[in-house]
Amino acid sequence: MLEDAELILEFCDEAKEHLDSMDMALLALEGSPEDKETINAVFRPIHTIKGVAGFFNLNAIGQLTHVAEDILVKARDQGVRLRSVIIDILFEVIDVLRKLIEDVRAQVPEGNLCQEVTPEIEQLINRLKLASMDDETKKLGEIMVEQGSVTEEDIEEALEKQEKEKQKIGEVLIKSGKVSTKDVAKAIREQKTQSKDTRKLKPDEGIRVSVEKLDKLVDMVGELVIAQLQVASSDIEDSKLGKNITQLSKITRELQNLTMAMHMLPIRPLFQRMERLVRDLSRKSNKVVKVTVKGEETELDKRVIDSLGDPLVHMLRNAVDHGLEDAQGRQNAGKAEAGNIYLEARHEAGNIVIEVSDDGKGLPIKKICEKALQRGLITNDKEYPREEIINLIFHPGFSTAEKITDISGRGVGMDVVKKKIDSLRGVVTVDSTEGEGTRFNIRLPLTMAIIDGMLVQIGQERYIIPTHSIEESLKPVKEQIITCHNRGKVMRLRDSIIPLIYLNHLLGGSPLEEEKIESEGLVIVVRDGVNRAGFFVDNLIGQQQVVIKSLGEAFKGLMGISGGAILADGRVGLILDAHGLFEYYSLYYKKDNSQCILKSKK
Amino acid sequence: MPEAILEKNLESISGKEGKYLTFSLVGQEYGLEIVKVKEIIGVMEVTPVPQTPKYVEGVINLRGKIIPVINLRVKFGLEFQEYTERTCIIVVEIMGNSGSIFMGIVVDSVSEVLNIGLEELEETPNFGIKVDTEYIMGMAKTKDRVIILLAIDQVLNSEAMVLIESMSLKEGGKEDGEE
Repeated sequence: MLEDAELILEFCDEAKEHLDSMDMALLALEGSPEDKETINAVFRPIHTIKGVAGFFNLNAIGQLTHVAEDILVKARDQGVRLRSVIIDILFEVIDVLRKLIEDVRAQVPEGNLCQEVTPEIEQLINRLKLASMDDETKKLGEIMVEQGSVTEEDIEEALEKQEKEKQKIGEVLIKSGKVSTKDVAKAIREQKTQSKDTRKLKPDEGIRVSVEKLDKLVDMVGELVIAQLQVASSDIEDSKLGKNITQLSKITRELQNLTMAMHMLPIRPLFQRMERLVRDLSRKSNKVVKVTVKGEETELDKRVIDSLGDPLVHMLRNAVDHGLEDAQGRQNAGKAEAGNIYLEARHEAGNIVIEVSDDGKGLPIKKICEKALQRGLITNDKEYPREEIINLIFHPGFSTAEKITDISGRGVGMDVVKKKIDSLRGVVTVDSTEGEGTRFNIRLPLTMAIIDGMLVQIGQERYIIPTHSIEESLKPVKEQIITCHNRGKVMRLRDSIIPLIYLNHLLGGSPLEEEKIESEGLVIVVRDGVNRAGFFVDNLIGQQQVVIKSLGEAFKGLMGISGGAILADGRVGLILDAHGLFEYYSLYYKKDNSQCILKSKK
Repeated sequence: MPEAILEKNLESISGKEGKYLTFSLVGQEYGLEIVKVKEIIGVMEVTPVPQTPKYVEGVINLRGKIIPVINLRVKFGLEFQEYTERTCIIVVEIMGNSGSIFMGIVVDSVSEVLNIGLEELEETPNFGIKVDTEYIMGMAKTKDRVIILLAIDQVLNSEAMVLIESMSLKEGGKEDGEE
């Protein structure tokens, strides 16, 4: 054993952590290569590793980190642009360092640390050095050639001289009398504007605020909005007061938007992480994959971004592993060798839409059908719209239980994706054309704290149905309602048939006569991405924005109710969740389809 | 031997002396440790929550916070009574799984704050095996009456407030009529 064995092992552990943090920082750097803070975040761990490596005489690690460090210093202090080539190489450096450190760990018990700088490492070092030398901004010489003030030969000559005399190229050229000072100045100016162009606008300066404080602020503003709404909804006769209240409303709304915006972050880092993931995945599966990212600057609620990672990983893994064909397959299908994956974020009608698509072989609809038939999700006697069939892959257990992956290749963890998106109050749909590709469409609300809701009257109570899950509302005519024996009632809606849910019964209100509801009530057609149903309500009260409040620990496990909101009169209205209600409905019907198990109060 | 019993007695009642808020339910006085009481509010309109047992009245808006409200009469299996002008909601703070939670309890009327000393305290009497006394922290005997001191954390935490789980797991209707 070595004397320093313990120390070295400790170093290995630390170094591993450092490399992990570098990985993250480097990805961030890819998006904003000039952010000094990010450069530092890459620099610090590598500097630490270098220091300790030197201490233990770990040559290869030492040299590699040294070169990498040099580049970063240049980038930080001299403004050398970290181009994607350099970042690519830095990624490689990290991977090599990981391996080297594992080697060291393995060597410790043997007692001798021998680290040679292998030719591969040397090559890597050289590449890194080289890449850092040529700057992306055009060479002064090139610009002058373009401007016609010198010829290429002149430049080459001057370059040689420059090497020897260590002078700036401009000076060499002026000295040799090839160009006038004015021309050089012009070229330098041009070079400067060019390099400015490549620089993105600096982000706004900011201060760090803890999420907790921010949450509190959002809560307080939420309260303010409620208070303001309460004031505004009272009868105001004094016209001056009325005017002031209108003004107050405006300010409150502005304030609310502002606080909401504080939770928003660009989706860029997440997309970058995904790009890296695809990069690694494609290497593993030996496929050439090109990722095209659009709309990385789209801003999302931080909490949404945080929980969007998992679903995206699932979808991308599917896309690379199963969606895209291998090189041979693509050739046979007459597609370009490199598979394409598109990742896009955009605003659309008050929602954030995230799309993950590929140009692979698409979903095997036939097989999904067979599987669904086996599992009794669909029946033979009915034609299903294609869309409905495809979206069956989100059905819980559809993928995992039957190992559909082995047969058809798609569907791993799709129910997980669905659940996650549901929990974000989003909707995920999929569209696929066999042979052409698959497109996942995730629609998310702009913020997690406020929803647009439809206030409805059900029995004695008012409930809120989130607008995003409402398709339409209508007054049904008698002929539309059909009773299925023992399976409740259904409604014919144009060319489809949807189950009818009597919310009043389901939610345990006083069991009114169904006939009365049918003649007086309204049906709201609601969907949760997979299922569709009509909710019978007594009346629509109106559309309203509400701040979602948790009902707290005591009511954990409620199905179909996602929270509460404080209504304009100060009372609590419960927010319904379509997906949960569908689940609850099937549970409720399974158990007993005639008797209401819920309390009917008072 | 008698000393041993006395000692045990002391142990079980010590630490329980102090201030109690008393309230009444069907004529019986109950006491709540004053430290658990956050405030007393008049009855306000409660929004019922589905899928909950009968004793859960629903939720109310307590200055922007949504808190559950429990009807103690129903919870204790006493006869339900329409609210009167003396009916109150006592907001208590109990320990939940993740930090403290506020809950409102509906009682017939609130009486007073009492200082209960050691000499007035009695151990929970043993009603025999069949009677569960975990809701009761102890008894206090004052001049003319007996006050039941409630272990409010046990009262409110002992049962899940949502019926779904029992429903889906056991498929039966036994739990539904739990009162």
